[in-house]
Amino acid sequence: MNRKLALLVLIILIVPMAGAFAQDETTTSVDAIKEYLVEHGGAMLEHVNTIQADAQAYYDLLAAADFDYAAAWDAQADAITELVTDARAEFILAHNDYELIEGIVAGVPSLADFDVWIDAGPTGEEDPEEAHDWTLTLDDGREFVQPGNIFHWLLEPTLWGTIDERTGLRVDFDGNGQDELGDALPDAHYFLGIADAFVTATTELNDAIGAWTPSLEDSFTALVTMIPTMGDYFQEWKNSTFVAGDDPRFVAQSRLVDVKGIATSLDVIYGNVGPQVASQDTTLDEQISAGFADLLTFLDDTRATELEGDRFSAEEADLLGEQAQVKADSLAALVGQGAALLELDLPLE
Amino acid sequence: MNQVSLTRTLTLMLILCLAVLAFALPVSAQDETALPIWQAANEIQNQLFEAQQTLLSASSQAQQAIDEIRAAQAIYAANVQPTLASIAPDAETSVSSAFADSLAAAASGDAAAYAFSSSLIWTNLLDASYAAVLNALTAGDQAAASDWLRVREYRQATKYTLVDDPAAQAVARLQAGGGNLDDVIVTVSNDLRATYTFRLRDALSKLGDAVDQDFTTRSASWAGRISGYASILHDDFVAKRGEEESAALTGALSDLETAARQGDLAALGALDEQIGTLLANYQPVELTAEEIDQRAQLLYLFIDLVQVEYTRGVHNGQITIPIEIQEATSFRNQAAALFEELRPSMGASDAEATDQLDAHLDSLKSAIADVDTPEHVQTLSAQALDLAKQALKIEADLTDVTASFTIIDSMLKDLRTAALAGDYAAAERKRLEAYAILDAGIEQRLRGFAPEVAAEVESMFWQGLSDDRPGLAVLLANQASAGEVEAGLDHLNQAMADGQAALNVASSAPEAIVGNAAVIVFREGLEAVLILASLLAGMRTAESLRYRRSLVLGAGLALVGAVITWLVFSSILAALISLGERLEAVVSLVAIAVLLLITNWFFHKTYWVGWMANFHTQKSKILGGAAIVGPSVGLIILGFTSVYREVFETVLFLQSLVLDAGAAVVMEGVVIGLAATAVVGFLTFRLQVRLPYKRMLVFTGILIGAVLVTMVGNTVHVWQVVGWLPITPISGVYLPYWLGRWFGIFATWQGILLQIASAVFVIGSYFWAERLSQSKRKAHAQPPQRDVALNGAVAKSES
Repeated sequence: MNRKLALLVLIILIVPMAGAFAQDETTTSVDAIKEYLVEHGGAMLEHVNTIQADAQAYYDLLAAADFDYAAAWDAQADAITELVTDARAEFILAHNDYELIEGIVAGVPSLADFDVWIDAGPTGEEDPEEAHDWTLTLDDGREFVQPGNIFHWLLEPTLWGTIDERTGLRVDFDGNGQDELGDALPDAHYFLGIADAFVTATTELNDAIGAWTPSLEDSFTALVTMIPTMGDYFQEWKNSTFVAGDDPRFVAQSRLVDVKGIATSLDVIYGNVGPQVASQDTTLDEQISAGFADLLTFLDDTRATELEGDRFSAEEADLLGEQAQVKADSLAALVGQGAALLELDLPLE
Repeated sequence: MNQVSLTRTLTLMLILCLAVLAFALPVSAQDETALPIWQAANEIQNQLFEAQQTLLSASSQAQQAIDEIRAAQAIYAANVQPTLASIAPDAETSVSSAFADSLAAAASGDAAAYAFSSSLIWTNLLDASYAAVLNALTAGDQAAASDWLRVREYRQATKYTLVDDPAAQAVARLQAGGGNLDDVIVTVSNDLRATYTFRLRDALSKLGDAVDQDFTTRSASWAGRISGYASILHDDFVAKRGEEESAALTGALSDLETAARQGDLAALGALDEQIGTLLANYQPVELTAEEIDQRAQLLYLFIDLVQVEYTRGVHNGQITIPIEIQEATSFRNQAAALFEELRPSMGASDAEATDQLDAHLDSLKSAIADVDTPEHVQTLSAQALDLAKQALKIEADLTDVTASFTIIDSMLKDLRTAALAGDYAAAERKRLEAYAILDAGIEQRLRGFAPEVAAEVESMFWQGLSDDRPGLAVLLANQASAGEVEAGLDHLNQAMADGQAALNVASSAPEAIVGNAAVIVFREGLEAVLILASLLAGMRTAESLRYRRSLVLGAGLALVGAVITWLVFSSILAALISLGERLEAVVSLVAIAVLLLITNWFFHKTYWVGWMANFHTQKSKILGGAAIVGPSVGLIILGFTSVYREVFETVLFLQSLVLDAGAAVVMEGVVIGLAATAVVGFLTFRLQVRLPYKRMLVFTGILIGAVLVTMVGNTVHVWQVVGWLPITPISGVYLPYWLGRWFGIFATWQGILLQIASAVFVIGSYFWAERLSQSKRKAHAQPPQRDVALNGAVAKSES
């Protein structure tokens, strides 16, 4: 009798302890964040390499025509269309992969500069202090100091023809008889120079990801620095051609896709570090998890409405932006509390 | 343990385990229906947003909006209303009323009216939560307070700043058994009031934007927020600004609601400004005296810099250097922003001067815009400065270098921006301006306190440290690449940061503080051991032995007294901590006095001898029955007084170190000193080992002398920091920075001379004491009394 009773007591004592140990193993697994980064960073590089191959083929084709875009278009419209169309599709795929990791890249101090270079930085003309300090060199020797980020200031306007200087020739690309967004051939010098730079930047990003040792501090830094930016992205969305603006950037895809990607990557981070918060304050963890779920649902709903073809008025976009900011403000404060509970010293400026 | 008791024990453990598991079960498993309050509030907010979106969309459908509002109302009724009705009935009524209003607005398809009233539902819910938190805290229900506190808004986070949550932290501390209820209520109220004031001002700004963009519904939404936040702050506003201003605000808010419901954007714009003006003097949480002082010094500097920059940039009625004018504008704007922060304090002190200062800051703005004469701008700046001082009643503090560091930092950032943009001429002007501010005050102090750093800062502003590390003057003249300029700036910024740290009073190396604390504790502990050993040594008879316990008990009580004395001193210092560096300056002086006393006592053997003789006389009286109290009590008192004197000196001295490096660092030294004393005590009392006490006293005496010299250096440093002593750098002398951190040696004439004086005093004191002693020996021609007085403990050790 006593032996059985003792065994029962032992089991009751051991089972919760075993559970606690098992949970501890998963909660400290910030390595999963790195695996996620490696996966999407690698996929992005493949798409960027394809863009570079398209750019090189396009450049060779134009060089053979002595950069006479009209002649080249007359002679090889199909080949040109295929290359540009493929490059645009690869741009979107590369961009989608990047957006899924942007929240982490931009938030982790040792990786943050890549976000400025690749996706988020302004031009030196806009803001020399915030712009990434690099020089774009074209094959004809032209140099551009602090030319802005590769995705939105360089490649996107070049591929979709929203900046005249980087357009080789305006053509009826889709053959619908109208001059619309995207009815343009990229300037081959720009296209190749940017594509080469893109490969360099993405390769270096992947190297930096490989060298990064994930930590709880980095994870929380990414969360608290990136969550508050939601409202800014909505502002860019409001000013883009998807709502009521005429910004030459963000024409390939709605900025909502970017916001959703960033929120997703932040949710991935929190999914891995959340148990640490839960160990200090279960309700706080529930609030944060619910906050992420709520934000993602809100973004999905808004994007779904946009995809249905509804065009938001500027006032509606303003309302949506405010709602996103309200959710982000609350979430950022709660995550900040989580970091404080874990006594993390975050390297904010 | 027999069979029955074992079974009983195991059964008891089983019940205990099951009980623990039952408590560990998730709360949701116990109550699956009710939503937590925070979750209910989130869902209400989402439903209200859905309704707003429905009404705002091109295909506006009133019925769908009504359904969404009812869904929100149902969540409220099921999860929030019942509790709220019992603990904050007024707040509950406001929420319910706003729901009814919202439904009516949606039924009529009026998006603007709905926007206003749905904002009120949310802000009334925040108000209700605020009331519920305070009620729960007062009722002692901390868990409920914590739950309600989760329904709140926060200040807006940025990527550079974390949003703190002092209210939640205070409640958590209370739940953990720390903190006091009144303090927690104050913290919670301050936090929430500060947050909702931030939100109110943000809503005023957003209303302005919405009006500018002709957004009728969005404007109504912000108007509702403004009304709601103002309602949360109403009682505090009345208490601080009075009934008259409150009535004016209430009137304006009423007009705001009318304008919002009517979609009158022009009226909304005007009321937005009017309400902003009415709130200008409201401060939700008072600034501390220290915060006011810091902002005041910055305000003075900015006002003065307006005319400095402007005068450089304008000649003969023409702008000759545009960037100087931009800078003057920037300084004026920063002065105006600081003025807004300080305005409530200034207004309370001198309303007339405050209004005049406001007008002067406006006049400065106009004068700059109109390219007025430099003389006029100088006059306006000087008058504004006088008005600011008059209203704040704080004199400009020439020793406050924090403001100068802040401005230099800002200028170096501008330099960087200009250089990266390729505008090297503008960058060079910024360099010269930043250097002018450095030269005006900081550099002189740096040369005194940290000459190495001063030399480095100076070099990095000009020629640089070597060809590999060129200074900014060289870099800008050569139009160096962005990377090179950034490297130079990084180096300069690091040197500036070192300089700021060097000017900070808390500049001693922690290891030095630990060492000093250990020396003083060991030294005083050694004296206490010797006194006790001396007193105990004569109590060897069977009768005396029973009194030994009393003596030891007294000594033990002195240690308890040490802890109490420490706590008393800590409390006094905590109460005076707002005095900042001045407190450290005074306490350091007291600590030096203590050290001088110790060295004097040590060297003047007659003091020591007299002191010991006095103890022995007292002991003889007590044991002989001649004392007022009985032998046991008398010996407790004797044991206490003989040790407590050492304790008191030690605690008093240590406070100065605590102000320098913090209690944790000092405690490390205390532990080391106590451990060393314990070893000596153990060897003396338990093992009866005769140690070389005299040599130990001499050695520790020398160490105390070194501590005194260090202490004098550090104290002169502090006095110079607070401006109580002038700073005269020793030209051509560049002492390494570590000498200051470890030994308080800084290259100023004041510091070095006073340190030499203190060393001369200690050594001179020794020789003077020796001379006195020899004279006495000659005069009396008898063996020194000291060995007799120590009654064995020392005399035997030397034999």
